[in-house]
Amino acid sequence: MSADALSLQQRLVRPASAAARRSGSALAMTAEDDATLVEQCLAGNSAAFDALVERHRRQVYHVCYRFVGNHEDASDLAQDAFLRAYRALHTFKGNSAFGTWLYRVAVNVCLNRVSGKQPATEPLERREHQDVKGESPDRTILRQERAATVRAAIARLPKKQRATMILRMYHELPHEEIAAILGSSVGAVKANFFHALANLKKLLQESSR
Amino acid sequence: MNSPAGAHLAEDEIVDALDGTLDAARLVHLTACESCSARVEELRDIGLAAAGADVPEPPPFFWTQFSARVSSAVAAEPVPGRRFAWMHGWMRPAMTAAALAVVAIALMPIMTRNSPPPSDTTSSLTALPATEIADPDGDVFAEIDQDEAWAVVRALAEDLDHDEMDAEGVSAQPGSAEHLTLGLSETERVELAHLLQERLKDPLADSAS
Repeated sequence: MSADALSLQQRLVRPASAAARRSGSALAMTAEDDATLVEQCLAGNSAAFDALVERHRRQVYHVCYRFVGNHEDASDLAQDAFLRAYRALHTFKGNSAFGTWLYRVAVNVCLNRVSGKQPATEPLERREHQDVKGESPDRTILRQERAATVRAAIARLPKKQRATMILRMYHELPHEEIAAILGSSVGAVKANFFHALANLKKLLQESSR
Repeated sequence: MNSPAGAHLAEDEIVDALDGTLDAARLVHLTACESCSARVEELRDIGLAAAGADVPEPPPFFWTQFSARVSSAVAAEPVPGRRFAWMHGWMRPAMTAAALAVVAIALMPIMTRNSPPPSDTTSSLTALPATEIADPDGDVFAEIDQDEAWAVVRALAEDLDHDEMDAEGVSAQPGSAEHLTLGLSETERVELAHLLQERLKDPLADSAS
């Protein structure tokens, strides 16, 4: 948890957890779970939603990025996902984890907003901002090129296959949860995953020619 | 869905094999079948290549800006579920009563066909100027607009969301309440207002029962 997220949570728990504050226990502050934050948000505490955003923004952004393959669109989609989540917050019943519910919102935003056309992926120089310790520059460039090629290929998959691939491969959701998010059967999810991998192989072969 | 023991693995079984959850009997086939083994390995390699394609970390200032943008967008929104939340207190049973009263009024012409009119239906809430009562030639819309009794019903119902009411078990077609009440006589509207007034005096009656 980042320092700014912690400070935000400190502000949120102040009215309810005076004892925890007095003891200075950061552990008590982290006990603010998503469901509590949702409740606070529905009670009119907008700072609670800020905390939810800070907790989940990276995962939501990653889903969106993998969907579209570029930062600008991913940022817009992620923002839209959070806005839609806020508007629909009263429909969150706690039957699943808040993060799963949020994935559902984000995936639906992506499925609805992303056209069937190939998304515009970024040029290599704008894609990478991370270095691996001890890696030679040549190797870094090679790794980044491979990663960019794979992301571009994923962004070209049919939408449902793309969503299945992203949720399964990168967010490690079980097939059952993916089925719930996509509103399909577990069998369909497995079939989508199979075809996503098979199509990804073809796309990677095409791009290597 | 399992294939016959001797048949090649189906798509969902290949996914199960990748997940390590393949049925033991089918695992025997996979071990013995070069074709299926090669297919599983081929897709496993694609999966491993895809798994290494991380989302590039956005610029450091991005997250702060992102949260600020979401927070700003959310600030322009009403509190989620506010339209529904206001019914959670004393208004909720009153709203339920209003919905039931509309249904009751719809049935009233049938029920009162063989009954004498109510002896006393006047109240401070429902009293209308004599000139506005029972003008069969008047404009029903203008009459209803000026009707204090109807104003109570309208004020209670105008912010209702059809989906939310449906979720609460109060099912009606959008506009049906308006359709029903437009057809009410002055006496019937007075009776509806009387029922509502009684309910508003004792808003917790539903909760207690």
